[in-house]
Amino acid sequence: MGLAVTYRFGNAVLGPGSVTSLRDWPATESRVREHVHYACPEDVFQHEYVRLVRALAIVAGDKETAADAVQEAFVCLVRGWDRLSTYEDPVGWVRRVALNKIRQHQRSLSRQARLLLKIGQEPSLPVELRSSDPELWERLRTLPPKQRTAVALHYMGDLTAREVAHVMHVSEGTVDQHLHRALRALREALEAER
Amino acid sequence: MSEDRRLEERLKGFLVSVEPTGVWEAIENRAKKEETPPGEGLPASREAPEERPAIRVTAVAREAPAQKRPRSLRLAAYACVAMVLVAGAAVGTLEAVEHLGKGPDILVIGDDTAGISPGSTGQGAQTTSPTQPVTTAGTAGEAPEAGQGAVSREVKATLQQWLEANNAGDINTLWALYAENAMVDDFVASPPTRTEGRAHVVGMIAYWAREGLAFTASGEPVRFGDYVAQAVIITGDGVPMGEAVHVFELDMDGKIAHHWVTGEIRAD
Repeated sequence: MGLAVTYRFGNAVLGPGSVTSLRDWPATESRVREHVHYACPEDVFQHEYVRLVRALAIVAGDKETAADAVQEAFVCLVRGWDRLSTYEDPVGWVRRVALNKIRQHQRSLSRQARLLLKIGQEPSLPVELRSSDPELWERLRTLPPKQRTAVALHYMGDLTAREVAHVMHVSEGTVDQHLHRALRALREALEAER
Repeated sequence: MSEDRRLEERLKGFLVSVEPTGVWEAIENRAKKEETPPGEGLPASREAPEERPAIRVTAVAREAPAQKRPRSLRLAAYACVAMVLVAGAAVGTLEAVEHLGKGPDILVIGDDTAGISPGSTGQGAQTTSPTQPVTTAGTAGEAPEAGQGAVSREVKATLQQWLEANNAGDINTLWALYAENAMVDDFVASPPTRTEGRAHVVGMIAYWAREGLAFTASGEPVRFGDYVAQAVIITGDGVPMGEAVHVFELDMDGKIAHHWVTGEIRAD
């Protein structure tokens, strides 16, 4: 027999759904999260801002860049809300825009660095995230960008593999592969250091 | 606890503290500011209020592709864009080659040299030299040379002087470097522009400097037959923004008779 569930995020309320057993709850939570309808962009902000900045700080390498990118994405969301609110998953849209902003920023930095090197000037290095676990941070930052993004969104952003796949515009299987390879690389690197 | 679980716990240790207080208000304010009312900032003749929503939608759509768009459609769109870019590059190259040869009309800014006189720039009376294009990129009186390679010391010095004067907006030096009926074809501008006459050329370059645009030589200048080319990095207020190539044709007095600029400014 199904168990009636009502789920609330900030001011956004999802109508009753059902799970067949409590064991299904985590999966249902992610399904609920994907289909929740937000009344206004502020609801999306309340629900998503902090964890998105946290996850993208790992991708960008510093918190300020991540916060800027996420804020810019929210500005776009506010401006296009009439249209974006009709999307099946406006939150997914915000995540993708924020990630794209970070990629743009990184491309711009590397282009600038290349141009500065061409005219014989030393590019300044971006300020990196400070970490209490420098050993792991060093390994994390040398992961291929896609693996690092998947790790950040999944472990720091608490997104499901399906949500990560949507943000990265790849299949769920690919996300699983990125996560598996990233964890293996981190584990092996850390074991080798011992 | 398994090894993976321990690693996941360590990864959670990277979570940074985020303070959302006041951020939402800032976002709302920015969104309001960036929402330009129809017609604002545009001349009355260019107002198109009914088109603005469509423009906004395009801008937003560029941030992230619309959801559920089939992959094949996206690929087709990319292919179309690629074809347009390739065609554009081909047409641009042909146009540039054509301009190097005979210089057809593009957009002529003006040929009236009354705007800036030597007196007004502090320069003494100029003896106008006949600006017959010469077949060498060397110094005055130098015999024409064929082929390509390094440029003479004099030409290098002229280019260095030009770069410095350009970046400083030094009207006097620029006035001395260009021939009286000099022409500048600027392919970085959109649409490409042709500026004729020393006064207009100097005025335009002074405008670049006022806007904070500067050039830094990227490598040595090279001579290609009758022309000297200098690659540069374009900076805007000190920040690298793109790359360009300046091509100069000097007259028999070593003054710039014709100057082409091509390149790309990438606004980020």
